[in-house]
Amino acid sequence: MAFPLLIPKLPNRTPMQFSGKTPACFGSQVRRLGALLAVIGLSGGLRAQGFLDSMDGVLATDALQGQVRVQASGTLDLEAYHLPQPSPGLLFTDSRSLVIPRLSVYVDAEFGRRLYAFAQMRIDRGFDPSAQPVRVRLDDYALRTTPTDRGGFTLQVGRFGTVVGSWVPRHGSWSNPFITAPLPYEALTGIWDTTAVRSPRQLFAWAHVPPATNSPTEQQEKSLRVPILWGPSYGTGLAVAGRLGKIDVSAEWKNTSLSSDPGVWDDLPTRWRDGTIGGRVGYRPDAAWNFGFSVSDGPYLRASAENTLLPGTRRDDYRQLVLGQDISFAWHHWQVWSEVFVSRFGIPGVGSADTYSGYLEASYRFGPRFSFASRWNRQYYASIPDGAGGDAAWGRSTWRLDLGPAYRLGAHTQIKLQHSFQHETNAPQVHTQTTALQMTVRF
Amino acid sequence: MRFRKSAPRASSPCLRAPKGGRGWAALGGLLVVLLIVPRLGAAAAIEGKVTLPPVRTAAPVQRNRYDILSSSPKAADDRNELSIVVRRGVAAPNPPVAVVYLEREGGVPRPARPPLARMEQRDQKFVPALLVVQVGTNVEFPNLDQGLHSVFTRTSLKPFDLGRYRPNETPPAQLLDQPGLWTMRCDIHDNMVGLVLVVPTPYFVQTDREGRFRLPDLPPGRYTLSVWKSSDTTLSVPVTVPAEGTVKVDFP
Repeated sequence: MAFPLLIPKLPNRTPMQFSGKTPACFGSQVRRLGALLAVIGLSGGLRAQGFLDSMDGVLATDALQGQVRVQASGTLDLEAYHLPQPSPGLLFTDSRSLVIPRLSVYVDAEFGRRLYAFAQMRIDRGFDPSAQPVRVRLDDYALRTTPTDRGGFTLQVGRFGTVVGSWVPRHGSWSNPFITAPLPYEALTGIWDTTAVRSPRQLFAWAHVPPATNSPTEQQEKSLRVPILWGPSYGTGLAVAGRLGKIDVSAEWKNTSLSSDPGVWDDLPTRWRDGTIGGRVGYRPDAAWNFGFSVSDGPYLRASAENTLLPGTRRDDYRQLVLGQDISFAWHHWQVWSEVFVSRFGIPGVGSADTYSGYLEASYRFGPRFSFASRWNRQYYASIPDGAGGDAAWGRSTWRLDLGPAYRLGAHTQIKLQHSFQHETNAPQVHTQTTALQMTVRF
Repeated sequence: MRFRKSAPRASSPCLRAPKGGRGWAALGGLLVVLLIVPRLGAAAAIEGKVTLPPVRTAAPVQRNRYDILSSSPKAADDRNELSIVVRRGVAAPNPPVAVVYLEREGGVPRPARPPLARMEQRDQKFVPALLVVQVGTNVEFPNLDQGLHSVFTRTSLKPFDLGRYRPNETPPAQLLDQPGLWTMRCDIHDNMVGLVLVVPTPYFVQTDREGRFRLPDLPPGRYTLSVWKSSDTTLSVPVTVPAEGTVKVDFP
């Protein structure tokens, strides 16, 4: 089955900037390799850690006899990728290698015992690793209040990571065993949030099912496509959370859907119904186990897509419904996490486009310094009517195996390596491999 | 002449008494009292005062931005409870206290059977935050909180990582067989820091909040008296302990 590419005029959205270079030549590869070695060398130099140790506690201050306390901290990440083309997931480059510096500065403040505020500023080459110029962003910020001394109930307002799922609390470079996100948080579907899909043929074309031979469009369109969850989904809104015995409940209203890209996380919706409601119910039978069930529902098209809607439809007819289950376990040197999501993109005129995605991840610490993690990721796409009397999957089924050793040089520095084997049905390259190296300095 | 080892007063609840029949223990205790009490007046002691740095007022800030249900650790507002503050790479107790210990030239033999000490994980803290033990002591780290804790140390003396432990679970006790400062941390809670100061002598004591100390019942001889104030400050002075009487030593 082959469909002609139906690419509408690109919407008014800033596309990702690509380097414009041809695939890396030998000299370029050497330079990248040098960068990799520099990363390793630098990390070795930092083993002394004297300077980093001297930073301990310096970035903290207090006032009113300790009732107001402010502390700054941060991480400096250096990442290097060797990747196939088209580049996988949320890596945006047309080159086969990419080097990313990233400075993240966190500010945490407590005002008495009932108010807590936090903010995160980043300087990097885009929220997701890309070949863009370096820029500064304020990624998340929020004010949280705990009205009672006993805790158990909190209210939070601002721009912050979603309460859906269980990956967000560990997505930072220091605590995440891997460098890239699990598949549900980064595998791009054929859905765009800038333009409404008008027909199954259009959706197949956007999903590149089947792939167009030697077409550069797949890489170029990457910035238009969305995953089930876009990383930690730092949307703007409010959240409430409570704990009753072994049950945790959290709910949020956000301005964007889970799949929305970082460019709209700051946009405020003009109507409540344009926002997304989500939540998670967790159950902890004991401290080692944690079970959760999540749900999220809201329109996935951005406001600028209004003029692309099917006649007679509204933007909130194009909804993303996400159901998720998560399980985690930690005991002694083992940590295990698993999440499964089903996401339904409602497309008037086409139907429901469902996709299923999940992962199983395990990490083992061999001591205070060395750990090893592995992660099995899987994503399926349901079939939709193809408009020609048959049915076809609207995306490429994918599995990916991630392997990741990590070594902590001390209290402030860590090196992680990740190697990923990916199989993508009907892709230009069915089997691909991605290697990433990350050095993190925490202060 | 018989002498009594000076037990670490502040951490005495953390030392376990040997198990045995109560009757025998009582009888033994009576004999010890009868033998020792008449000689106490003749025992030598060292006492004095250590000048301590000012109290730090601020507790660490919680950093739980992605755990919406988290709240401040209970100790955040408690100005009197001892905690460990790490500043400019220097770990020190707060409110400030010091540890005074007496090293004999040539050393003293280690206990034949390693004693057992205890550093608990409670209210998202190590309790006591500063534990002083003689070299060769087993230390256990029970988790008395409702959630998971981990225990690890990257000390160059003997790094170990005990992993994550459930509430009321006690990881295997660790033999601290090297003198020095062992910094304990929890991988789950960044703010948790505990110090175990392992000293090569049974004669040690923790000062009070004013810096006052007294090391009683010391055998006569030539010693080095040391005071530990923080991870980068240890002062030492040679002293001679007479057969009886009290030697006064103040530390700046």
